[in-house]
Amino acid sequence: MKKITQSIKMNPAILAVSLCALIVGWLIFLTPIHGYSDNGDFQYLMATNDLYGLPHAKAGYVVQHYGLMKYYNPLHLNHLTTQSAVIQIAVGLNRLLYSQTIFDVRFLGAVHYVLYLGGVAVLVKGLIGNENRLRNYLMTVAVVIFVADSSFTLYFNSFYPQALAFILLLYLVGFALLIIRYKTVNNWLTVGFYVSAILLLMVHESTSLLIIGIVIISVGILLLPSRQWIHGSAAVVTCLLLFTCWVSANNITREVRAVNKYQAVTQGRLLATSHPESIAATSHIDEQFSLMKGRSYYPAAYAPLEPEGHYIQENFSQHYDLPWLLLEYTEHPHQFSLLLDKSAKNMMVLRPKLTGTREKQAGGKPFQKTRYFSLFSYIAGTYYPKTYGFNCLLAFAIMVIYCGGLIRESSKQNQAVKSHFWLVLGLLSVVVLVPPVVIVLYGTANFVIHMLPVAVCLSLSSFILLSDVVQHRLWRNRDVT
Amino acid sequence: MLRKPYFWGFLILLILVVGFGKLAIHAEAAGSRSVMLVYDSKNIAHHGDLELDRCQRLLTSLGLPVKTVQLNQYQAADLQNGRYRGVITLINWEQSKNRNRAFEHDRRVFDGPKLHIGPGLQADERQELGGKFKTLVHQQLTSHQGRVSQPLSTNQPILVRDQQSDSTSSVGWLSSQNHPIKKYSYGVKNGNTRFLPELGSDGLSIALAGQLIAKLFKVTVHNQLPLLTITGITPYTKLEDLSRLVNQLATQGFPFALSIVSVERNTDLKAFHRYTKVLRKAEEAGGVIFLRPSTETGTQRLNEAELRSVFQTELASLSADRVLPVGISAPGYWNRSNRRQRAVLNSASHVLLLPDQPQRLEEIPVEPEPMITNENRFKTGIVGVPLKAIETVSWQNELKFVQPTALLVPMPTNRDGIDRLIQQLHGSNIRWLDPVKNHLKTSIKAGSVLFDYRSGQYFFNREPVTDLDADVENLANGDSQAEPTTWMNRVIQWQSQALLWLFAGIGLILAGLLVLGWRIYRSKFIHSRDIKER
Repeated sequence: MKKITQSIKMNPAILAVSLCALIVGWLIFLTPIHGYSDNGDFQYLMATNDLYGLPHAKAGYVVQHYGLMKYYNPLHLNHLTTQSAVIQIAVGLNRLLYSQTIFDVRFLGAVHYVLYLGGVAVLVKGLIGNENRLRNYLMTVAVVIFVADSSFTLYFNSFYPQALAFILLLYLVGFALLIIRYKTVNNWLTVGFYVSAILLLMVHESTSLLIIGIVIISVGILLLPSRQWIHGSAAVVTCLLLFTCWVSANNITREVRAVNKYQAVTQGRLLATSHPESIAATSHIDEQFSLMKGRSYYPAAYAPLEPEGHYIQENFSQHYDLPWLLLEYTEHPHQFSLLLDKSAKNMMVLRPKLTGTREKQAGGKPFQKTRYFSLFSYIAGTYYPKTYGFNCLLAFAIMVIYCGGLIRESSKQNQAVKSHFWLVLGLLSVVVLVPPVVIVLYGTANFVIHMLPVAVCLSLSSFILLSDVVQHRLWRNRDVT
Repeated sequence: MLRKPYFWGFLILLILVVGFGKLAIHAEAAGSRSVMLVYDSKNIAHHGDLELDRCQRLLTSLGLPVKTVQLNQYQAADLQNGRYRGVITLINWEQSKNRNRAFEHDRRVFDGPKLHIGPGLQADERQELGGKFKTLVHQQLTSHQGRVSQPLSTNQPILVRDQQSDSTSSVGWLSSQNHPIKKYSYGVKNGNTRFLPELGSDGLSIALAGQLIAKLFKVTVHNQLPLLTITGITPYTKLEDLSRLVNQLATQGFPFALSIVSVERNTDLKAFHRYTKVLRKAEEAGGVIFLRPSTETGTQRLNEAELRSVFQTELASLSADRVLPVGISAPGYWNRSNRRQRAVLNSASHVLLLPDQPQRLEEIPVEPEPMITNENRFKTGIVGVPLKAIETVSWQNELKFVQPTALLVPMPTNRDGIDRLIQQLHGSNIRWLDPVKNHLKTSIKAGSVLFDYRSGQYFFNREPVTDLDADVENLANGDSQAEPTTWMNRVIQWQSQALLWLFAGIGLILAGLLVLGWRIYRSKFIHSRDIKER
C-alpha cells in the first residue's frame, strides 16, 4: 500500500484539489447546470450589480441566463460587499468573453470555483501537510467528502452569500493552520489570514457575527512565539477586525433592517410560545398582532395585510426594539431554549428550503433537489443529534481534550497544540455563541442560511481534531522524530 | 290525394316546432351572451387601468358578462351579430392613435347595442350618434341630473356633444364654469348607439353610466339603495375601535356591511377569538359580513386548488366561531381571472367588487394579465364605490343608482375618525340598504358547507342559527389544548434528552479523572523530581 502511495507522488493537497475540481466542475458547468434557485433574495443584489432576471424565469428552477443592464443604473454598486466584488469580476469576464447583454451565471460559478479550489488547497495543506502517507490520503478523502458536498457547491451558481462565506471559511482556517504548521515566519500567510478574515466579515451582515471566532483565532496567532513583531500591532489588528465587523453589520438597507426586525419577533419571540398574546403585557403592541406568529416579511403568496404597509409599521414594528426583545427572552428562558433547539435542528440541514437545484427542462418539476455527491450532508442532516445542549457538550468535550493536550505539551517547545487550542476554541465559540445571537437578531427566519457558517465551523473543528488525533499530536509524542 | 293536407299540416307543424326551438335557444343565448369591451390601452400613467376596471365592475353589477379585449388583440370577424350582446369601446389614451381597422369595420357592421366611452370617436360613430362634438380643454365642468350635481374631478380634455338635447336622447348634462348658461349632454343616445364622455371616479358619473348602460342593454332595473360598507377590516384592526364603530352604527340606525379579511393559520389563538367576537357583535347588531380573500403578495401566486383550500379554511374557522359571511368582496381583478372566479367568487351569490389598486408603471406585475379576459356575472354583483366619490355631490339622497352599489368607507384608524364618520353619515341623509328590512337573501356554498342569509336570519347547512353566541363563549375563553404527543415522539424526545444527560455525566467524570490524573502525575513525578533535585 505504501508503495502505491509512494508511486503516486501526488501530495494530498494536489489530490484534493483535483478531486474537487472534477466533482464540482461536472456539477456546475455542464448543461443542464445545477445550483440553487432564487427564493426572492436575488433581486436587490442583482440590481446593484447591473443584472436583472429575464421574463421567462420561473420559480423553483435554476436560471442560467440573466439580463445585463446596458445603460445607467441608479442602483449600481449601491450596497458594496465582498459578494458584489466577486459578482463584478464575473460580470467583467462575461462582458469580455461572452456578451454585453446576457449574463451567463456560470461565469459567477467559475469565479467561485477558482476561489474555492484555492481554498481547498490551502485547507488541505494546512490540515494534512505534504507527506505522502496512507493515513494522510485517507484524511484527504474524508476532507474531500466534506468540502465537495453538493450542499455547499450548489451555492456557486447562485447569488446567495453562502458561497463566499463557505469559501472564505476554508481560506481562514487553512491559513491559520498553515501559519501554525510552519516554524519559520511567513508574513504572507498572516496577511492572507487577515485578508480572508476581513473579506469574510464583509460578505453579508450575518457573517459579521463570526467576529467572535475570528478574534479568538487571531489571539492564537498573535501569541505564537515567532510573531513577536506583531505584538505591538495586535491591538491595531483587533481594532481593524472589530471595525470591519461594525461596518458589515451596519451595511444593510433600511428594508433589510425592517425585515430582520419584523421576523425577529414573528418568527422568534411569537413562534416559541403557545400564548403569543402575552407580548401585549410588556409592550405597546396590540394583542391582535399575536396572529402574526410565524409570518414572514415577504409572504410567499398571500397575507391578510402586507407587512411592508403603513399600518403594520406604525402599530407593530415601531413598538418594540432589541432591548425589549432581550428582556423578553431573559424572562422566558424556556422559550428561548426551544428556539435554540430549533436552531440546532436546522443547523445540519444544509440545503435552503424553497429552492430547486435544477435548470428547467422538459418534464422537470420545480423545486427538485439533486442527490449528487451529498453523502456528508445526508449523514450530518440525518444522524447528527438535534439539540443545542449537545452542541455545547460536544464543544466542551473537545475543549477538554485540547486542554489535556495543552497541559501535556506545555512543558515542551511544541506550539502546535497550543495554537490549535485557540483555533478550535474560536471555531467552537462560533458553534456555541452564534445561534443565540441569530435567534435574537433574525428569529428562526432563513435559519438554513444563517446557520451555514456554524455548521461549517463545527465540521472544520472536528476535522482539526481528527487530524490531530491521526497525527498523534494529542496523546502520544509526535512520531515525526 | 287525401294525404296532401295531412302532409302540409305535418310540415307546418314541423317548421313551427323547429322554429320555436330555435327561438328558445336564441332567447337563452341572449341572456348568457357577453358584452365585448374593447379598450385601446390601459394607460397606467393616467390610471386608465382603473377606468377599465370600473367599467368592468359596473357591467358585472348590471348582470352582464363581459369579454374584455385589448384593441390590438382583436381578431377580425370576432364581433358578429348574434355572438355578442353588444360592444363597448373604451378609449383611455387618445394620443396613442391606436387603431384596428378590422375592429372598426366589424363594429360598423354590427347591429347590436354600441357604446363609446371617452374621446377618439370615429367618423361612423359620430354619424350614428348625430350632432356636433367638441373637445373642452381646461374647464371646470359640473355634471347634473335633476337637482343632483357634482363637479367633475377629471382635468383631462373631454369630448362632449355640443348642445344639450331633450332627455330622450341624453342622460344627464354638463355645465361649464366659464359659461354657466351653456349646457352639454353627458350621456348621448341615438337608436342603438350611445356615448359617454368618460367613466370617471365621481359618484354621479358612475350613476349616470349605470343608467345609460342598463337602458342600452335593456336590463330590467329599478333604483337600488346603496349598502354602507366598511372596508379594510383585518384581524389586526384595533378591536376597541371596531366595536365602537359597530356600536355607533347600530345605535344611530345605520345598517351596514363589513368587508373583512381573515387568517387561515393561528386560528387557535386567543386573538382570533377576540376578533370573531367583535364580528359576532356586528352580526347581532344587524350588520352583514363580506369575506375578502387575503391580499396577494410576494412573487408567487396560488393555483386554483390552493386558493380554494385557503378560502375554505378561512370560511370554516370563521363559521366555527359563528361568523357567517353573506358574500364575498374582492378587488375587480379577481373577476378577471378564471382561476380566482372558479376558486372563490363563484361560490357566492353576492359578490362585492372593490376597486383595484392603481398599478404603477415602474412595477412589473407578478402575474401579467392576459390581453383577453372574461368577466363573470353573478346572481348579484355589487359595484363598490368609495363614499368619498359622492362627497361633492349636492342632494346626495337623490342620487339614483340602478345597479347594486356599495358605498365604501375605509375603517377609521382612531376614535376621532369614527366620530367624524358618524357625523358625515348623519349629514349625508342617504337612505341605506337595510339587509333586514329590504329582505336581502344570499348564499355561499363552499365545499359541502352552505351558508344562507334571509332578512337577518342566518342558516348554516339549511339549519337556522338561532343564537349566534351559543357554545362559542367557552371556546373563546378556553385555552388551546396542546397536541397530544404520540408515543414515538415521546421516545425520541426522551432519547435525545437522555443522550444529553449521559454525555454531560461522562464529560464531568472525564474532567474529574483528568484533574485526578494530573494530580497523581504531579505528585508522582514532579514532586519526586523536585525532591531528587533537592
